[in-house]
Amino acid sequence: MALLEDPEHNEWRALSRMVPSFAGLRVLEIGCGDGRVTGLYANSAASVIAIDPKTESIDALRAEWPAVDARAVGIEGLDLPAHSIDVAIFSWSL
Amino acid sequence: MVDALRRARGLVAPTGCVIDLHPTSAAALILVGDAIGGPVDTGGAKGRHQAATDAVAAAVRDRLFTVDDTTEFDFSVYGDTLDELQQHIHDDWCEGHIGDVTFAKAQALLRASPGRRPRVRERVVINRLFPTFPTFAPPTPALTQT
Repeated sequence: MALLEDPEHNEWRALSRMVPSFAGLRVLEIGCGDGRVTGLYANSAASVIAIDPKTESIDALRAEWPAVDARAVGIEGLDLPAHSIDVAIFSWSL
Repeated sequence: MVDALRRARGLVAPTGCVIDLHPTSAAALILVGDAIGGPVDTGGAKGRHQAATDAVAAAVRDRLFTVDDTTEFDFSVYGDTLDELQQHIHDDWCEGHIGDVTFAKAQALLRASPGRRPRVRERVVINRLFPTFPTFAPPTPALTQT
């Protein structure tokens, strides 16, 4: 066996309490890492932009979730139109 | 951190929200089953986690957001061995390690509970923040009449 992260699904339950459905939502995830949290909602959101300054993390996320717009950048360098996101997630990154 | 929240507020639609997930400043623990081996030595992480909590409070105080909902949960990572957890903490955490005392106690717990897997448990807070925008009340007749 390998490492097992949150097999109790507590993180998913907590996120679902905050956002009961990601359907139709434009999501920005800040500090996505290799996409552990991204994977909780990526298949149901309308669009996902996932950012992290670590290139190797973004490469790993792209490999796992090719439909996600993954960018190796911090929020301070992110170029997006104002008010173009429905949900912004700080993923253990504040 | 408040700057990052301010930037996020500018990107989120007025009807949207910001979700913040971050560990609390409570000690991360090594456990075997529900038995506690001891805390993980996390160096300066406790201060960073508290700073994240403080940043959310400051953003609310500055009227950038209101906190609409908040809750906490346990986040555990299980390994086959303590060495595997030690490597995970080394690789994935900004800083931290399982100190000798915690390691030895957890080893003893594992010997007493064959088949159990050790885990590291963090306490995590999640907040849903709604952006606030200035509201302009219509002028009252008393102020507009000359």
